[in-house]
Amino acid sequence: MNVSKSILGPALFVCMLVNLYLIFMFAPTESSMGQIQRIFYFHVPTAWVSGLSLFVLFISSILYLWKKQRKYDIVAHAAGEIGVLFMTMFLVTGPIWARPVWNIWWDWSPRLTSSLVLWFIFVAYLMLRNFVENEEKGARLAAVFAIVGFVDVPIVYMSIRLWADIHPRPVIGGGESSGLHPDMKIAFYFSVLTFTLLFLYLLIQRVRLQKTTVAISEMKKQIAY
Amino acid sequence: MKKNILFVITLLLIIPFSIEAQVPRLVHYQGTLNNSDDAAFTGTTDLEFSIFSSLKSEKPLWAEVHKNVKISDGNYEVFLGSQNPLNLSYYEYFLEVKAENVNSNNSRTMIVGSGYNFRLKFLFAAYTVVWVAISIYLFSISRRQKKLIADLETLAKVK
Repeated sequence: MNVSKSILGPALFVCMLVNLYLIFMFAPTESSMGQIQRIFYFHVPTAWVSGLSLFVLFISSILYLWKKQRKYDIVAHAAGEIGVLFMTMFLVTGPIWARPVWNIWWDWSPRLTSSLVLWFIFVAYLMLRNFVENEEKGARLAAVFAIVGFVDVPIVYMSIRLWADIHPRPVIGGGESSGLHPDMKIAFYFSVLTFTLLFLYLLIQRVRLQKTTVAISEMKKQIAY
Repeated sequence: MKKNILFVITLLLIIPFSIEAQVPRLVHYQGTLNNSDDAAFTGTTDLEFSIFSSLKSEKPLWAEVHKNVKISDGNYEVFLGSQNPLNLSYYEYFLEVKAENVNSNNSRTMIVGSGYNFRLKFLFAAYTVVWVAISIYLFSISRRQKKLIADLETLAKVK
């Protein structure tokens, strides 16, 4: 049974519609920023999925170097590509929020700079995979690169907790002064759930694509022999 | 698969924009009006509201006149945008109120809070970026998969 098509796809579709309702109609309008605050319900979940993708990439890369099984490399490659996609989204939605609220598009603050560095690291990871002709060697190099590159993820996460930053302080788990209105919490957690399902769906599709690529590559080798 | 994706994307893009179209572009404004001797005005008068981009700019971005506004002990309320649609997207505004036949103070007031509600274009820009990026990625996966399956079938025949 094709789980992604028969269960995950329809569930994701329903969640997306409910998510829209929660974001645009259910969640109350924030008192100081107004409607623009609703970007929060896209921006933070895209950041969450980026972190999740890179964590999957990190674990898969370790497993690939340890077990030397192709399946881990396939998952790592897929997660890396999805991670870059979502990182691009949070790097774009952040400045769109910042322009009307801070009156600037960008600031070289610790959070923003470390996020941009993270994006460059994983764009380099994808480029590395394409540049090395020997597939096995490329996969090994990429796995090492991903493990080292993952060091930036906790730096991005902790940046607004450790250093003075223009970026808002965390509203979830950010101490006594942080917190969300109960209705905002519902919209936020549901959005995180929806984006997590979207990540799973994309990962399954991307892994399937990678498996087909590997099958073609192996068939070509067989024909050549 | 492609048709399904297209349907979902269209739906996801249409719903929020139709919600935006329903957002009333009105600002509820409560003001006070005093005479030149600083006494609260009571009665009815015409009020001209103008919005400027700065304290000193001469040309208003928007203006409308409210006829026969009832003023009680200097207090009144109107819905700005009810006579002339408000379609502003600046970051902050300055409101000036002129009263007909009342020697009032015409100083400008900053109306930042109301202006925030007109920043919807940024919200929808962010929303569009997210869904367009996901859509393009899904399309590219679907397309690549289709091409690879065709290649695989061709190779199987060769083999």
